[in-house]
Amino acid sequence: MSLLEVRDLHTHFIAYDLDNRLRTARALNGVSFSLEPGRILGLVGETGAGKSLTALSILGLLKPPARVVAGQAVFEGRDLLALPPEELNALRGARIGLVVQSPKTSLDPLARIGQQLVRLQRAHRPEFSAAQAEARAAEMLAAVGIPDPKRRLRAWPHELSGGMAQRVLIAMALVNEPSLLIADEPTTGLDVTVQAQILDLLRGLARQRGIGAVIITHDLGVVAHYCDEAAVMFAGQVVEHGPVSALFARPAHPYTRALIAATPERLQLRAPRPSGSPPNLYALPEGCLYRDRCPMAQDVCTRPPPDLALRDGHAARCHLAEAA
Amino acid sequence: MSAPVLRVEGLSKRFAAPGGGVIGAVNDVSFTLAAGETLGLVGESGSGKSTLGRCVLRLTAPSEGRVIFMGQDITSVPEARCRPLRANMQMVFQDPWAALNPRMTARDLIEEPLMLHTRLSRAERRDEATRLGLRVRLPSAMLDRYPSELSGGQQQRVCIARAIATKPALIVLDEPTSSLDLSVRAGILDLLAELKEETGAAMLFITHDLGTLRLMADRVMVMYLGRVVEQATAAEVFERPAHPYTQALMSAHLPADPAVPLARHVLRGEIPSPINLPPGCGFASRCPVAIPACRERLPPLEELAPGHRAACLRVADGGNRIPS
Repeated sequence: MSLLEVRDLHTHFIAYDLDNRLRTARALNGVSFSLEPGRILGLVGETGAGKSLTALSILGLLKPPARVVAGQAVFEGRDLLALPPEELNALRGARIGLVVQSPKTSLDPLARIGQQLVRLQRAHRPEFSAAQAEARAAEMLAAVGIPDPKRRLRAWPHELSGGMAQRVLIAMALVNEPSLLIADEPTTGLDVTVQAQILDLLRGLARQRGIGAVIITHDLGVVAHYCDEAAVMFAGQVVEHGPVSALFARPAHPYTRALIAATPERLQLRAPRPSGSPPNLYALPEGCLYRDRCPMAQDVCTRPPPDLALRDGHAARCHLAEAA
Repeated sequence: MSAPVLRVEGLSKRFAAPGGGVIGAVNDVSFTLAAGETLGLVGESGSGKSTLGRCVLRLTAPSEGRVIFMGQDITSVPEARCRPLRANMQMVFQDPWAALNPRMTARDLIEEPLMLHTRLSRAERRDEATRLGLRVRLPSAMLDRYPSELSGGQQQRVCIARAIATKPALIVLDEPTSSLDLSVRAGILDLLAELKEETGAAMLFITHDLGTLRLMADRVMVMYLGRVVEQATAAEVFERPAHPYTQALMSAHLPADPAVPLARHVLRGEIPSPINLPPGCGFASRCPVAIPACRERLPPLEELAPGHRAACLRVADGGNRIPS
């Protein structure tokens, strides 16, 4: 059984505009992917593709006017989207850990690192004494490679560098022994030499503890070297899903191909390339959402594309995937 | 070779640290830049690369050293007389949204430098702005939009049009594509490559992204803690990085291709504080091949091969290779 299976997730922003007309922005239009225990999935795409929104939708962290209008997110056999808020609360921070992009703004500036780690444990495990929780907090800081962990428990968030703050956030996400970790751009904004340390740490801990992880990123380099599987998002849909090696060696969706061709390693300067902006979420066309930018688009693309199963769990949402 | 467009000699910039102490942001940097040449300036945050770019344009007054632009020493030109110089030296910033006045249309923004630096009539300016808009591939209908109505890539095109409006001899580009998505980035890099060829402007290209550097730079200068640690042609730096920091930087880069194995030399720690730097090599605290002498003596930037310089004491005894 999959650890997490997201099926046909639709999230809309529904609000009145300045002329008092009800308008719907269809931000997620059928996101589907699955994650096996102990595997690392890269959720990759450009700005506005819906990567972070997918995570927020699954975790029940959407704020109005955004809301999930359809779909399922089955985690350990239970649909997160159908759980009452108290039950979801009990899972978040415990069975499901979250690491967000900006470590500095995600830590409570008015609490020492140790206090924050203790608080988080006792919220989910009231049976822990303060001393027990503090001992485990120090162990966790050591596990994420923070030197002198006992002393660091007394540190304030503002005393930490970006890399150290990100390590603390990883410690917080893992302290209650989750089986699922969601990391949203965990290294964006960190220097490259520090990025390598954090990614090594994340992958090492996930492997060691058998945690399934979703890494949300716009960086194909992170996907190529730190993920087992990848799901490529465009306009609120997963357009391709498969093992990383197959996806890079035989990208099936024209968007994935364009994305890979635009990486600095493959980029041919001054070569023709697809242009144009993502579709208008207020007025999505029927059929394939990529077809206006797609160099291969044909008449058939005005019909909704199927989720083609290619070989070995590699699938693309494209009429022409097999022909390609 | 013709006289260089830019010659920088022994440039230093120090700031007073809050609470006492001195931040050596840029220390004793020298280089030249010829017409039509692109010098890539690479380093992590805090390496001094942006401060150096700003000193070159006299947006910040250097503490020491000389900046010679087209044969003229501009280090001590009074601020009031800098404006005519700046027609000839332009800058493109990382965040186009922050660089553009939100209350001006794209057309007005592009006309602004023409108004300041040329004697064109209103009609001539209008024509020139249309021409510049087309040059950066902004159709004239788009020129009537405000920055908020343009995408990030289009905003950066407006910034580039402004920078080339006065036909400058030197353009400093500070992370011009770092905030842009892959597919948008490709289009901007295309444009910069075309402009480089067409205008013959010298470019100082500041980036932390080695992939972009490889595409754009003729020569490369690697900075760490305010000092140049290595200087060479782009090909030479990528094929034979001599300084241990350059080697670590290269190995921390994640190519977007799982088939390319990573040569991992993960550095420990982060860039130390630039306040009151200790004597010796700034990289010694993180360097895997440092010897005691590295902490005592500042390594000079020495020539290893024609045009290839590195500042590392271990080059002499061949111990500068980081073992993998």
